[in-house]
Amino acid sequence: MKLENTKAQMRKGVLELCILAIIKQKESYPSDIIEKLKAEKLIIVEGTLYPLLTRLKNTGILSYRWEESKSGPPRKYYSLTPLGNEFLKELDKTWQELVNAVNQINQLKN
Amino acid sequence: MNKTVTANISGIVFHIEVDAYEKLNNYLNTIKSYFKSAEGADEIMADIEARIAELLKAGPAEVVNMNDVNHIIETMGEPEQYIDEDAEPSASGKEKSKAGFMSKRLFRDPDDNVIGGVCSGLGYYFGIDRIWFRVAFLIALFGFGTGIFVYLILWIIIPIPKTTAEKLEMKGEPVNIENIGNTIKEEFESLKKKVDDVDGKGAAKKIQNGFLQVLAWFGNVLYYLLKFISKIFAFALLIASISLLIVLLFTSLLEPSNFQINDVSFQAYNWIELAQLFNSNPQIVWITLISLFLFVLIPILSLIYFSLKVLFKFKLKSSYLNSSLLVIWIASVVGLFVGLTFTTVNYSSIQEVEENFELVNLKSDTILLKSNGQEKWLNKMGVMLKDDHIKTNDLTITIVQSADSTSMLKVFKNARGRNKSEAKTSAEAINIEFELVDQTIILSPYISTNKENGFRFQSAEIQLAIPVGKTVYLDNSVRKIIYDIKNSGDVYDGDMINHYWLMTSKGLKCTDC
Repeated sequence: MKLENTKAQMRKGVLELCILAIIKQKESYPSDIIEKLKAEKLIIVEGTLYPLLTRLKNTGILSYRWEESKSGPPRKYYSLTPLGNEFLKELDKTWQELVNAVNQINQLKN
Repeated sequence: MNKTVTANISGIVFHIEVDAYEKLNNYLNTIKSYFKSAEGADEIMADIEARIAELLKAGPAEVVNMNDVNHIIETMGEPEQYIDEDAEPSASGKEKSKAGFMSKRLFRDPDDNVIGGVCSGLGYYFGIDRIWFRVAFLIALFGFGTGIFVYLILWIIIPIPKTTAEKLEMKGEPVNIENIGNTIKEEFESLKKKVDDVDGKGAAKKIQNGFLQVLAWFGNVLYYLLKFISKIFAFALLIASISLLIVLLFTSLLEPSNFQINDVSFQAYNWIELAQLFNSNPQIVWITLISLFLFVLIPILSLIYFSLKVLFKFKLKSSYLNSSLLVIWIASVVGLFVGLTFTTVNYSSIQEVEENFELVNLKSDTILLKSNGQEKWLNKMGVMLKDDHIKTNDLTITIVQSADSTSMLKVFKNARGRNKSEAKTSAEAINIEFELVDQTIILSPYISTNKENGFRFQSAEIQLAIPVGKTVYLDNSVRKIIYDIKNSGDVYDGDMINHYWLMTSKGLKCTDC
């Protein structure tokens, strides 16, 4: 088993949660999201994000609007739909449970 | 110095160095091929392109070079890293990624073709070198051109691969991102090579394929030549067979006003009437006529069909047609045979009857022998239907010495029939027409019989018997009727015309020669 692979799997698991959290905080376009994710080393390449955003948009969790840009093509600004808000709440809850569970188990180790 | 191209990425124009452009384009195509089956592929691609445009715009360079492109690929990630595993897999997408190998599909190879790429495609499909298929088709070309037909059919029904994935399916390679990338790379190279070929750089490579190309060229030339010759032949055949058909139909429908069998010419109003001269049984007549018609018609139709087939590659769906036509034709042969057999029995027996007409009113010593017929008609044997009568001209007259002092016409009538009595009845039914006006005998050149009696090779020999001391003058009009008149001078019949002949005890003697 490769360590990198396992790490990537763990990061991937929380990627959707993080993306939705970033968008909930502030209406964002992909570059914003990527910068924040990159800063936290959650993703390494940008390519990963686009299929994910499109899928979340298509399932009705995200919506977007166009905004003109001075430095290139128009940008898509993503925001959460009401369904997305519900979805994020559920993910948050699951995340908290996970954190607690992992902490509990880690305490046993010590 | 580097060549640059301009590219429009997401609506923004960039100047890109050629090699950098190729790499970027290759990169985008690879991603596109990967997302092909994913939902919202176009949107994803648009997003990615927009981002690339943004990154390039943000970059410092006036002209995009290899470094910039490498930087973009580094930032965006290799195609494999785009994988969104949570995406609902489309049916084919999942199969592809799991199985790795697709079942092979038969395509024509547009990149390695001599004519239509059929052989290359078959080669991939069966995993055999395409050269063997090419050789096989070339050999089949000489087997009545079957190779041409098979090749054309395959050319029409086998599609060419339209997408990279289909090309991989043709080659039987697993459809994965790596192979799609390789394929696209190959395409670029082949495109480049084609461009190079124009510059003459690819000449060396062409020589390598020289043998194949010469072979292909000869194949092409031979193919078109054969096609051309066969089409010309087929066209001539079509014209000829259609003419025959027209002749047949016209002959069948129109009156056979003047019809000839061997030396016998017939005049009748229609075919049935004509046929009934030979056989009075209407069933036999119909069977014979219809059989005759089909016997001639079917080979003509077959010729027309065959030539159309060669000309237009047209083929009838039904295979029953050929066999049923053959059956009908065989039936017509049988019908014809039956009809002719039943007809020929009508002619198996021959009988002769004698009839005498005493010329009691002939008082003068000189007799004029004349005919009231048309000389033209008499040139050959003829049968003519007129009203209710069959008229034939198988009539001869000769002059003999009378046994006593009377003058008479002795008529020997001949006819055929199924048996002796029928032949005799037919012979008795023959009418001889003559008139005696003063000293002149006017003879009709025809003998006639009632139509119901049919044509039974009726003929008549007339002997004009005159006593010694009487003279006969042979008019020009009997030139064709007189036959073998014995005379003391052994003068030929034709030379006896227009002369006076005196009957002596030693035979006829010319008095004015």
